[in-house]
Amino acid sequence: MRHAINRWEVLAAAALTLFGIFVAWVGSGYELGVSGRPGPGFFPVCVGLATAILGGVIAWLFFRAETPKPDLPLRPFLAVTAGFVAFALITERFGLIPGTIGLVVLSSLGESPLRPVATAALAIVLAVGAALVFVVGLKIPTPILRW
Amino acid sequence: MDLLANLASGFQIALRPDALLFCFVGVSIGTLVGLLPGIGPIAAISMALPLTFYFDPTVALIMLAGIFYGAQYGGSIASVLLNIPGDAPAAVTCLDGYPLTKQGRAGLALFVSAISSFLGGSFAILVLMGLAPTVAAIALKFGPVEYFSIMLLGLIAGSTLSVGSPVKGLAMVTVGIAIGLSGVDVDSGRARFTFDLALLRDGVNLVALATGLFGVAEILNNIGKNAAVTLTAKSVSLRSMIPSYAEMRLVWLPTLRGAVIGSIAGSLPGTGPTIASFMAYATEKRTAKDPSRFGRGAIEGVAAPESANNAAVQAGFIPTLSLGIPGDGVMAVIMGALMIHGIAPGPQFIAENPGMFWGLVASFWIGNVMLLILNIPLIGVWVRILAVPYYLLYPSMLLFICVGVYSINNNMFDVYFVLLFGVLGYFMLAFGYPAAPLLLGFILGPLMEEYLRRALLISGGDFTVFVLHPISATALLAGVAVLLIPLRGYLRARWLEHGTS
Repeated sequence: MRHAINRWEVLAAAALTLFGIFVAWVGSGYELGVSGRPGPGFFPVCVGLATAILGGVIAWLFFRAETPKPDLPLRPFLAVTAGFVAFALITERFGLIPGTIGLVVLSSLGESPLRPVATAALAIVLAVGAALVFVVGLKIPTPILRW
Repeated sequence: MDLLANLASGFQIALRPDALLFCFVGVSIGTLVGLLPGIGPIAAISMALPLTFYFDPTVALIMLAGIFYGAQYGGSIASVLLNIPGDAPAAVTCLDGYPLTKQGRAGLALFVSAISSFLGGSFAILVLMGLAPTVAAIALKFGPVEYFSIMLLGLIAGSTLSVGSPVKGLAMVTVGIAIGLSGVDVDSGRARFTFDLALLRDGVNLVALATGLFGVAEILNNIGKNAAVTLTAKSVSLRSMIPSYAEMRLVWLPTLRGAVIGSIAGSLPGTGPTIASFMAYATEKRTAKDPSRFGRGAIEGVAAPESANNAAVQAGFIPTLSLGIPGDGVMAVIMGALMIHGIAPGPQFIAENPGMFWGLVASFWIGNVMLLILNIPLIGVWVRILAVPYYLLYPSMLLFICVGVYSINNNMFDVYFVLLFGVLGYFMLAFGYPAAPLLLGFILGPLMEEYLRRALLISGGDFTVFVLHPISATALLAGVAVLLIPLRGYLRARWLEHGTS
């Protein structure tokens, strides 16, 4: 029995090949040099081409592979992304304590059921702890709190 | 004797109060992350790395190494008690460790696993002490041609011998090398793949890459999947741990065999603790008088793999410290950490930094004794930590990653890079692409480019030097052989498929 084309595997392999072509293309913009004195572009072109070829081999090998559709739940992904962005933006403007609270609260939304009390307690403990350890203790040059 | 004098000088360094303290911190963190599913030694070492910038390099190395071997002890606790491997090498320990727990003999399984880990580790430290300086002395004669070929062999072995698809592993190596290209080229002074970002002039940050691929990706993958933990053995009494004389007699030979297998696997490129523990288990099952006992609580099935994975971890320092070629992802991060501290691992490493090398070796002994104490009398503490729920754990880990990565350059861009690599790692996990080879390629890529250029410069552009130098040719042949192993299996499967249909 022949199996249907495994779209997911082929897509991943195609992304790999595209990445390889991109690396080789950017690399070819630097001087390639001659074989006795390879320039800064020589190695990147080789690496890019090797990646592109391996992408092709994977597509060929996994064309009809029976691997299941990858499991990529959206919720943890969104929660953690929001947490990271919030941490970066808030910490730069308002300091480490609000940044930490933003990260902890948003990333906690990734798991259900929501536990508001536990999350709030964790956010406060971690914010104070991080300020003490990293700013007071290790002297990382970021404000604790500012507005 | 030379060896003893060296070791004595090493103990003088490793017994300094700061070295002792951070050795203890390292093995404790290691046990903790080994214990907790969803966070492994690579994530933990790269998270701790920014903290060690404040330390003396020897102390930093002692602590980071402690996390690595500590994790092997911790990994078995979760395997035995919960049937959940804390990390990959401990998966084998579940097979017989958990059945022992169900029979009410968890204490025995934990005791044997700690003792076997200790003995396996000790055996490999002896091998390390004897072998590393010798290998380094031989490697001093290697030129760029030999280095390039040996690194190529290391990358091929490291990516194809691990778990998962060999081709996908190879592809991840080249992606890792490509990511490592970013930054100012040492040779020409040209900025490559920096996309006009000032931050990328020094290249992609190792900590951002490793915490993203191994920390954030694992967290993304684990959120929502952790069912409530139910402990079969609520507490483990010290009395229940002491084995009988008959049980001790059953265990010592498997432990020794595991130590030998682990030491060999650890010192070879590409075969790390995971493969070592699988091989040790398979060997015990094959040589046993009654193989059917395995999987139902055979104590040898705990002793051999535990001894082997610890031996492999300690022996893994041989190629890294004497050749500058890490065998797996964890050693790649440790080597990256050394380079960040301004120390180049390679054949000169032991000769130029004898204090650091022998101090590290001495700290292995001290750390393993600490782990024995942490794992036998203090086992109850770890059992309680296993019950900490994931919804408290993962935001804490994310915070630690964010602050740690930010502190390196005081640049928020690094935090976005962690997220980027975390998402990449999440997709890689879902599609079955292994992340450790990417890290190996990232660390070794820039070195390989340098050696390739030098080799071609010396030979005047003649590529045949790689096959005409005997050591280089041997390494390349071995690389081809490693590539052919999976190919043979694949062709055979194809042939069988066509034969039957």
